[in-house]
Amino acid sequence: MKKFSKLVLSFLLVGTVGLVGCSNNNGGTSTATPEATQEAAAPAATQEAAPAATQAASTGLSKATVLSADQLPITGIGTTVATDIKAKGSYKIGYIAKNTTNPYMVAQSAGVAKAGEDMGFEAITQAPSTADSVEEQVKLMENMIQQGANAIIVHCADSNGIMPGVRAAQEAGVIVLTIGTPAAEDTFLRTGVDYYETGYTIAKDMAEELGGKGNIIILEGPAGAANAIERLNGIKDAFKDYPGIEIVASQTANFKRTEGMSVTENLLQKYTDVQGIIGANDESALGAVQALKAAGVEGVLVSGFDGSVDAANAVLNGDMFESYNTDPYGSGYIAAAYAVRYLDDGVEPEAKFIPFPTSNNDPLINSSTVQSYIDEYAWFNAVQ
Amino acid sequence: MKNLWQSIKESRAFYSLIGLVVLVIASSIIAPSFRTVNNMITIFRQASLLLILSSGLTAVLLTGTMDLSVGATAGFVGCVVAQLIKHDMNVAVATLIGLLIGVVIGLINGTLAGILPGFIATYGTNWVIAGLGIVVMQGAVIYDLPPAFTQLGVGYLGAIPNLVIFASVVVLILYILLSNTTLGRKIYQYGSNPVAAKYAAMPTRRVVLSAFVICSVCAAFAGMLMTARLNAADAAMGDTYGLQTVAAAVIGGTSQKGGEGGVLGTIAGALILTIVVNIMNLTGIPSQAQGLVIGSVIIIMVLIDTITRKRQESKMN
Repeated sequence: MKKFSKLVLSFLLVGTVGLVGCSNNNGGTSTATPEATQEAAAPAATQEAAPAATQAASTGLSKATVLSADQLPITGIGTTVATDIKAKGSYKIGYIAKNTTNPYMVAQSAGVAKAGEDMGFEAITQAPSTADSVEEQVKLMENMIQQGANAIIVHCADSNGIMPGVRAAQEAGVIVLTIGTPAAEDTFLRTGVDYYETGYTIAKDMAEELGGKGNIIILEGPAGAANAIERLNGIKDAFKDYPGIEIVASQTANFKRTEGMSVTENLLQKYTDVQGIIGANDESALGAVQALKAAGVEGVLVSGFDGSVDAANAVLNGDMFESYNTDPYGSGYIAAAYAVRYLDDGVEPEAKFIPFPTSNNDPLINSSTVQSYIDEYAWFNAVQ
Repeated sequence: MKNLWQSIKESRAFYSLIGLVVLVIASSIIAPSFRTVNNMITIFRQASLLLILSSGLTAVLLTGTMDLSVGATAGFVGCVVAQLIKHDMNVAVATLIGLLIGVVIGLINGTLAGILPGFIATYGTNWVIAGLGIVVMQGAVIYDLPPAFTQLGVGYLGAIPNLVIFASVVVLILYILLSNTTLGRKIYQYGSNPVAAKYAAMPTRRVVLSAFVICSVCAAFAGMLMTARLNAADAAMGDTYGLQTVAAAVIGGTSQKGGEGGVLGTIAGALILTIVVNIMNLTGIPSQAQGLVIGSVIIIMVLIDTITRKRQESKMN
C-alpha cells in the first residue's frame, strides 16, 4: 500500500506540471518574447502593404530591408528567374546546402547551378553527408576556401555552429552569403525569406478571407527553432489587428505530417468550432488536411508554407486554402546574382538582409494562382 | 479471485497498468473533452500504429536483444508499397510484397544480431534502411493514393476505426504466440538464460531469428497502415516512431535484459504515451514544455518499475 501511495503521488506531480502549463496558457498566446513582438509590431502597423521586418531571434543581426521587385538584381520568381548580370571574370562560387535529401535543398542547389550557367561562373554545390551537420558544413567551407572560391553561399544548419567557417572565409577575403537561417553575425548578405513576414502575410490573408472573424488553430514548428518562432510571431501579430479572430490553440506538430494529423485530431475533440488552421510548414498543414478529411469536417481554411508539390496539389483540389512560395530556387539564384555583381564592380547590396521572396513578389499560392504556379514557375519543377 | 489478483500483481505489467488507470482518471478530471467517446476512439486510433510496432518489438526485447530499426523499416516499407501502388500494382499484391520485405529485413537483422550485439547491428541497419527509403523516394513525397488502399488506414467498421481492429488482431496474435506456443516459451527461456537454453539443445539462432522476423513484419504492416492513414508516403515518416516504440515496450515493463514482460504491458505503455500527448493538446501545454513532460513520464514509469522489482528481489533473497 505504501508503494501504491508513492505511485499516486508521482502521478499527481506530473499532473501538476500539466496544470501549471495549462494556466500559463490561458490567453492562447504565451511564447513570444516581448522585445521581438514590440519591435515587430511597429513596422507592421506603419507599412500597410509590406509588413517589413522583425528582429531576428538572436540580437545584433540586421533587420530585413524589403525591396520592390524592380530594385532586385533579378526578375521573376521560381523557375522563371533571370538576370542581366554576367560574370566579368572567371569566378568560383560555392553553395552549401543543409542536406541532400530534402527537395527544398535540392532545388536551392539547382538555383545556384542555373545561376552559374546564366551568369557564367563555376558553381560548386555541396552538402554534408550527414544531414544537417553544421560541423561538416564548416569543413566544406574550409575546402572551398582552399579551392579558391570567390564567394560562398550557405544555408546554415546552425547560426552559431557555422561561425568558424564564416571567420575563415572572412580572413581569406571570401564573401559569405546566407539563405534562410542566418549566421550569428552579419555577413556580406542574408537572403531567402523573412520568416516573420511569411507568417504575417499568410495569417493576414486568412483573416481577410474569414472576414476578420473566426477561431484559429496554429500547428507550431519544433520548440526552440528560431525560424519557426519568427514565423509564429508573424502569425500572431497579424491576427492582433483582427479582434474577431481568436487563436484557440497553438501546439507543436514539429514540422511533420504525422504529428500535424494527430495533433489536429486531438484538438478537434475540444474545439469543434474552428474556421482556420495554419501549419508552420506545408507538411504539418497537410497533416491537418488529412485529420479534417478523416473527421468529415468541411469548410476549414488550412494554410501552410513552402509551396511544396503536395501543398500545391492540395490547393488545386481545394483541400488547402493557401501556401507561401518560399522559393528556394530563386533564393539560390538571387544570392549568386548579388555575389557576381559585387565581384564584377564592387557593388555592395543595399542592406545586410534583403529577403526574397517577399509579399512584393506575389508569393501566395491559392485557388487563383495555383494553376499557373504549377504550370509555369513552381520551384519544384526544377528538381523533377 | 484472490489468485487472479495475485497473478496480476506479480506480472511485470502491473505498474504500467496502474499508471494507465491513474493517467486516465487524472486526465478525465483535468479536461472534460478528454472523457468523450470520440476522444477515446481518437486515442485508440492514434495508438494503433505504436501498438503494432511496439508489440512486435516486445518479441525481440524478450530474447534480450534490441531492434532499433523498427521506425526505418516502417517508413521504408510504407514508401515501397506506395510506389508500387502508384505504379498501378494491385493493392493486395503490393501489401503482400510489403510484408515479404518485412520478413527479409527481419532475417537480415536477426542474422546480424546473432553475430554482433543487436543494439549496434540494428543501429546500422536502421541507417541502411532509412537510406534505401530515400533512394526509393528520390527525395520526393507520394501523395494521393487510391481509396482501396487508404481505406485501410482511415476507414471504419461500424463505429470502430479499421486501424484499431488491425492493432487488436496483431496484439492478440502476438499475445497468444508469446504466451501459449512452443516458440513463445522458447523466446522467454532463451531471454532469461541464454546459456541454459543452449545447453538444453535449443536452436537458439532460430529462436532469435524468429523474434526479429515477427518484429520486422509488424513494422512493415504498421508502415503500410501509416501510409494509408496519411494518404502519403515520405522517407522520413517512420522517424517519429523509432525510439518511441522502445519507450512503449519498456514502460510496459518488458525488461531489456530479456525473459521478462510481455504484450499486455506494452499495450499499457503505448496507450500511456499516446494519452500524454492527447491530454497536453487538450489542455494547451506550451510546445516548449511538451518534450519535458513526455520525458518525465517515461523516466517516472521506468523508475517505479525498476525500484519495486529490486525490492522484490531483495525480499526473495
